[in-house]
Amino acid sequence: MNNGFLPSWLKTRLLTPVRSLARGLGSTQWGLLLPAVGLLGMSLEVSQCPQNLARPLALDVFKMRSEDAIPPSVPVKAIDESDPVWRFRYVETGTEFRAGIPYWIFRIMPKIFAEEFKGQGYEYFGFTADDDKYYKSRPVPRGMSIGDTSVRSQLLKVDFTLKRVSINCSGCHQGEYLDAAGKRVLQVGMPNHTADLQGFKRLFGTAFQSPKFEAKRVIAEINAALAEEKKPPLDWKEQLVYTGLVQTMKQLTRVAPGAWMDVRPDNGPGRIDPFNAVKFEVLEVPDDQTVATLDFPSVWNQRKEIRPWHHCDGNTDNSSARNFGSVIGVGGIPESVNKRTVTRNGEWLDAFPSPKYPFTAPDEAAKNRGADVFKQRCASCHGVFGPDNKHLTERGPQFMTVDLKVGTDPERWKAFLPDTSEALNRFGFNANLWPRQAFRGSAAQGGYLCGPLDGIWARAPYLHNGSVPNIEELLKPPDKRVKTFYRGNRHYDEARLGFVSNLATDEQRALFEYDTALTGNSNAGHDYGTDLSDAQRADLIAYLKTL
Amino acid sequence: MFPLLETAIAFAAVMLTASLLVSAVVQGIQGAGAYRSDIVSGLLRSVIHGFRSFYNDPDTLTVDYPDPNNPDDLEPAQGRVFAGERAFVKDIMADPTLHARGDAVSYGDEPARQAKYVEYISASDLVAIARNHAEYAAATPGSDPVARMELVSSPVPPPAESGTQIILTRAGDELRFLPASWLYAKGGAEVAEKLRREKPYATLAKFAEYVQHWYPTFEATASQAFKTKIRRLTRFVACSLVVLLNVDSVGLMLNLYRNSGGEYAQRIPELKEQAERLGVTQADVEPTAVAASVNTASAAAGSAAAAAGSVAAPASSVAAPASSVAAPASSVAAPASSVAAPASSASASPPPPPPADLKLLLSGLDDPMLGLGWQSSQIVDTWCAYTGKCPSSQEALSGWQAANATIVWLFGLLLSCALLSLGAPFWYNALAGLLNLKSAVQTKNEQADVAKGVTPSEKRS
Repeated sequence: MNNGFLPSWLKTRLLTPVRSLARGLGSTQWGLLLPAVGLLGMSLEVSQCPQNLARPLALDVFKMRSEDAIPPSVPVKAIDESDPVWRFRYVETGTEFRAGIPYWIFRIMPKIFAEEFKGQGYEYFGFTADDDKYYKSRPVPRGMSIGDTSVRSQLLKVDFTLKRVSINCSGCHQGEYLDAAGKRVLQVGMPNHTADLQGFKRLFGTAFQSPKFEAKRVIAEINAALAEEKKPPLDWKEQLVYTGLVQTMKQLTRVAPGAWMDVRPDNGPGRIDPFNAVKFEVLEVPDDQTVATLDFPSVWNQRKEIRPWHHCDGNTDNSSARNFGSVIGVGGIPESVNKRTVTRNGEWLDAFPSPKYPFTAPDEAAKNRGADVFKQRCASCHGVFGPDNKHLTERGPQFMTVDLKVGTDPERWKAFLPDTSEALNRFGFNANLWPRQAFRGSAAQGGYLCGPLDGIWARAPYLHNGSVPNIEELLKPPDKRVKTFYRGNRHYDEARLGFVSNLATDEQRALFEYDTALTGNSNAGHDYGTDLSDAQRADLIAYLKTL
Repeated sequence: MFPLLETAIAFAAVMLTASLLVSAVVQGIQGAGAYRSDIVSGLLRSVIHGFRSFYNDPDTLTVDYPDPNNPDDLEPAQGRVFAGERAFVKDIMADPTLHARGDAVSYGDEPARQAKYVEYISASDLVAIARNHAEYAAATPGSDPVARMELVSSPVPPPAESGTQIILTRAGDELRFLPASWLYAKGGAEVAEKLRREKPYATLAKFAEYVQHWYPTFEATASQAFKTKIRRLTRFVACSLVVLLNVDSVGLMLNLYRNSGGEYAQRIPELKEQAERLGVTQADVEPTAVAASVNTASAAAGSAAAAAGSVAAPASSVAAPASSVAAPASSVAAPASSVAAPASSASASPPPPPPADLKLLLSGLDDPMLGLGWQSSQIVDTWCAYTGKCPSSQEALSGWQAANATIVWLFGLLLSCALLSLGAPFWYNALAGLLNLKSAVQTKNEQADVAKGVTPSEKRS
């Protein structure tokens, strides 16, 4: 190698010994020197500035003034970052990469697409304003987080400083209802039965292809929004970045990511088809035509003592698989999953209790009679909770087993057969998300888990697909149950134990009409308890309110 | 059940993952840098230089044995010799005859640019191309060699066979001279006469005889040069990877021991698949298998697996030297033996395996259980605790403790560099051996339990 640019004394005193050493080690002088210099540099960095290495690498790729103009979240009091409820509600889980929307684009979408949002903004999709428990104001609705996009791999943690809005745990698992006084209550762990995730996803999937979504209009709307915040408009560099972002979004959604949903019945609020989303969008398996739509589940009491298996078909007993899989299902990529936060949320939910019934307490005598009915007719499958409602005192022989005779809609278990579980296992294992055998596919004749009924009042509508609006309906023979009803109402029907389901609107918001005749929406099956007398049924409902 | 053994298995699996990553990177660099083509260039240059030296060409002798009494002769002689060698290499490697053998090197494109795709040339092909050039040079002295193909209409007949030996010379070769440009004998129409007078040895017959006799030696030398080059590259990439990803073997072993490293063994099926894609298989590390594969190499050398890096020896059907078994990285393939087989045999080869999945290999190292990388590393955590400049999981440390940890860490990095330099075949073999050992120990224990009358359920309880 020509080292003519080096002084001769350096060649003699440094490179010659290095060359000899390198030859002795079967290398070359530069092959030895370059790693050695790298090691020396890293050693100095470790010893002198370990803080530089300890923190994530911040890639301030855009360095945009408009990022600083994003309205801050104003806390009611100092935030305790160890508070698990705060973490569950506000910390990002890593869904930003595939599903995150840059804040200013998120902000102006209801203006560009006012017709699609029906003039109601994100409330149209059930993402209502947050309560004031933690923040006086936030730039995004409840159930959503805002943060820099981060890659959190073991080998390299990088923060990309472009703030994006994305859904976190509370987007699906924080429910909303109106209490007896008509006041809005947000309940952590409860299914978000008012949020229309599919509508939200579909709108963004198609809107970016719309001629209305073009760079000039986007920049103009962002400038208007910045003016509302009394901030200067985008400068030329930022305009260039947003022009690129618009084109990128158009490119990414050229084949609508949720196109597979268009040939299936609409989910409506409070429902999602997470496994098919992973199958078709992440694993990219061929469309098997299944309609595996689920009611959002509650997420309290997740510990193994109560729930040794997870998901309605009990397809995994692994918490990591359940938790990280959920993030992947709503837009995360393996490298972006915020494993630390998601794991801590999962551990906290293990012991997080179900909420007490917030309305009129049931009559004591009726409750006791209902408890007897429950033990006779329901406990063998659903188990019995002790007086503290935290521990199971009885587990019947069928408790947490897959009931092959339940007769409810089969689409969901058909969507997760062994070949799918194998593909998902391989995906998660290779990405260090879950163990190789974390998921199990349904048997040839599948069914659904017999699970505990803790906090059952807050889990309406019922059955895995949310096809029965309330308990009173569920205790009717399947052919007598309502064929259509409205989902997404926040008013509670205490007598029937479920949300009001016969009204087409909730205040100004139009509700979703659920049709049980559509594929995947069947309300058949689970005919247990359908032969109870009216009095027994009322007693049983009184008891269920106490769980 | 066997924590130490399981840790060792997991460690070998991690090392195999890293080694495969190194091999994949080496293969990428090797391809991008046209290493094989470079080696073939060197081989051809050696051939023409050796040919001229063998026949005591004055210029070559001046270069090989400089006269201290006439130092001024050296530089002009070097200039002439190098120019002739460059012309020879360029003419041979740019010859379109060599470029019709694969999709990437199709006939008709710029021959000079295609030269970098030439990764192999046999002795008979070399002589045949030289013959074509010689015929054309004789017919049109001083002409453009690229235009030669238009003139030479009759194809070169295949070499004659005498017993099992291929004879490269043809009738009339003793009257044909090599092109003047290869010998740096410039001139016009009189160049042929000049050649006859000044370089009477430079006939095609003598060249063919020389190639017939010495080519295997050049091939073996080139193969060794290629191996050395790849070995050095492998060491460089391995050590760079160690620094880049902070692969501390000592810390790694401790992490695997603490975190039930046996779980990492679940990755072994994926690793085997990746090893196969990179051509690292059990056969590669067994001496008999290597020798066998070499014997068939010249016939089926075009198999992509071999091209992807099997540990093969020179092409001339000689037994592989024992040292090649322990050669680092799978990508130590002899250029002469492992590439560019004739189209007929290549078409009979199985389809090439898909390339190694770099993402999968990287994700294998991205496991939090391993503790690789810098940001969450033990050494950074230690120095955070010592300096107090950043949050740490450890309590405040003394200078001595930090220094101690640093020495162990540095030792771990150097050890990783050395271990990764052993190459993927070594770790493939080591892993297989450890798995066999585990299986044997398990069987022995079970037999002992049966002899004692202990049932598996009793043992578990």
